Amino acid sequence: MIEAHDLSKEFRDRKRGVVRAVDGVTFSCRPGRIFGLLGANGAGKTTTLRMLATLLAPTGGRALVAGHDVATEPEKVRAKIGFMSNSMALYGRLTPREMIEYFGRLHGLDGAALRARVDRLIEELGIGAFARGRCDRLSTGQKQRVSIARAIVHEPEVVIFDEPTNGLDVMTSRTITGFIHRCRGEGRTVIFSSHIMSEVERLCDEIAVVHGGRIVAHGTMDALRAQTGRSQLESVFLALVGEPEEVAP
Amino acid sequence: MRAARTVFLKEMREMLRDRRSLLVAFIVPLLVMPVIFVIVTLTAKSRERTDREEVLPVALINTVAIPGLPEAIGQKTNLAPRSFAVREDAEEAMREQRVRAILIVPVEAAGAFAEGRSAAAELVYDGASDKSRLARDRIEDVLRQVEKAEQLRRLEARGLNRTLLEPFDLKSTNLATPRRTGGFVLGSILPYFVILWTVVGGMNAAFDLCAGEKERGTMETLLVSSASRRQIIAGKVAAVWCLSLASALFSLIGLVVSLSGTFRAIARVGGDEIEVSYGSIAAALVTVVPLGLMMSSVLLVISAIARNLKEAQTYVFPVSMAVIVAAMLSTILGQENSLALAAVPVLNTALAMKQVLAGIFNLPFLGLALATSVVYALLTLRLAVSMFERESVLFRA
Repeated sequence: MIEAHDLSKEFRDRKRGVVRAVDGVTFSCRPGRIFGLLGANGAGKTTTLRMLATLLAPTGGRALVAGHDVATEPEKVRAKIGFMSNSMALYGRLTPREMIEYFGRLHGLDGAALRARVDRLIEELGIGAFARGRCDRLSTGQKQRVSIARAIVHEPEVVIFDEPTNGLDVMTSRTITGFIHRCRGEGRTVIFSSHIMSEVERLCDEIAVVHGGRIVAHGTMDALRAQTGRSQLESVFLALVGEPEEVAP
Repeated sequence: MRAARTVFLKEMREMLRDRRSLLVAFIVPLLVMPVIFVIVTLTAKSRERTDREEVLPVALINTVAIPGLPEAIGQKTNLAPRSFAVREDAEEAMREQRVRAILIVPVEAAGAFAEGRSAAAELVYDGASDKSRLARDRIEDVLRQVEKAEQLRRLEARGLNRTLLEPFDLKSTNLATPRRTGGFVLGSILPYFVILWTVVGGMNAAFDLCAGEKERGTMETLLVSSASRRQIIAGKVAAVWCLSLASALFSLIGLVVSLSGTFRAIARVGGDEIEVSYGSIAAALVTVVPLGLMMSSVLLVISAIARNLKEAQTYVFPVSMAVIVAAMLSTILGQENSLALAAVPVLNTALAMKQVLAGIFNLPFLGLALATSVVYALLTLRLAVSMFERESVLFRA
């Protein structure tokens, strides 16, 4: 469960002064559902997710993740979340097994429990064949699977995906979207950000359209269609955020 | 602190698998000193040989006026004398490097010399040429030799004893044991190199551990784990500290091995007997421990602030310069230092090391140097922790 209420983030920028990257967003994501943040680059998606992941502290409002406040109990929040971005984020000189074990240990797992968890993930994700080679010698698809194992080794209630498929080819994107579906099936709360319309349309149970740090529309795909009177998500999106100015001929 | 231990062990494992950082931290400090010593010794030897044996042409004007002088010059096999009649010709020859120095004896000098007065003479050389300086030195040797003989002749002619000109019969006695002499020699160069490696040894790793993680995108995932920032940075500092101490140890081994070889060579050619005291070397290594922690923390502060490896390498430049200057100062300063110097970071460690090696146990100085080093180490460690806890540092746009 994620509940964000009037969540805001201001940055001080030397050139532009105070910048409101996230400007009072309110939403909630329920277990077993996929919640999508849809927006253009710079809309505030990554900043929102980073606040939920306790990487950045909110400057206004509050957010509860798995029942804990991100501002006052960041360590409890971190124990309950898994985080994935489009970077595979592997340590090249460790083996996949060491990599998964390392994050298991950081989350407080140890001994037989850790071993059992790692063994299970290696089997489930088909890592076994390359579990003892170095991560920097793996293919992109193999890295992707290790990265997934790393993110869920501690059985998180909430999984946060920050533009996970950005820059990936179709095959590796499929691994990720499959994993997102699996998380929903296991009853986890999934929040997911993207600027790719088709992906959001295909995956998400609920969509929040983010623009200029605010949520400009929020609901299921059908609700958004009804609200704008358009059927294609792309045109729904443009109707919500405003059409870009035409280039003069 | 279990998470800190986990981070430490993982960082150590990764570092030990990185050939580049192993090379910089262990192999280079171990080998670089012996190699430098071999090169310096060989160069010095060959230089000494040319200095001794190379025949240098010199111009002589009217030297025949002084009895014994032409013969004395003739006996010097590394001087090739050429007689000139006029000063201008000799100077022209010197400009064309056909001769390296000119010895001029004026016409009236002969009379003065014979009558027991000072005979004027002039030695012309080129201060900007080392061959000319060498020729000058050799001619001065010859002149001193002739002078000595003439002094003796004059004294004897008047029935006087030579002791009249030698009021002292001096004998010097060296109280230093071979071991203390060894400590003195070690203390003059060892602190500089050991301190340098304390910093350089951990540098690669330190940059990899924060700036490198930012660059590769692993930093976010690490920070989202259950481990607190404090524990993560503690594990990282400990790993860099280990590596920097190991590298200090290896540079010490390389230095001591090459120096004890040099000492044996000196003793063989009949120089002072010099010994290495392993106890004081071990004590010297202890003084590096707090410095290692301080430098590891400083390097990680830089690494945390930098957005990527390249930035870290740029930011570290002024720090490296400051360390090099401080370490170098220790080679200039003596072993007996004012207490105020014990509070100067880096320099205090270098001086403490120098004293310990020379067998001087100045307890107030050593105590203060160690205490301030520990305080600086803890302060920089705190700085590293607070940098690591600041999102504006870790997520710099």
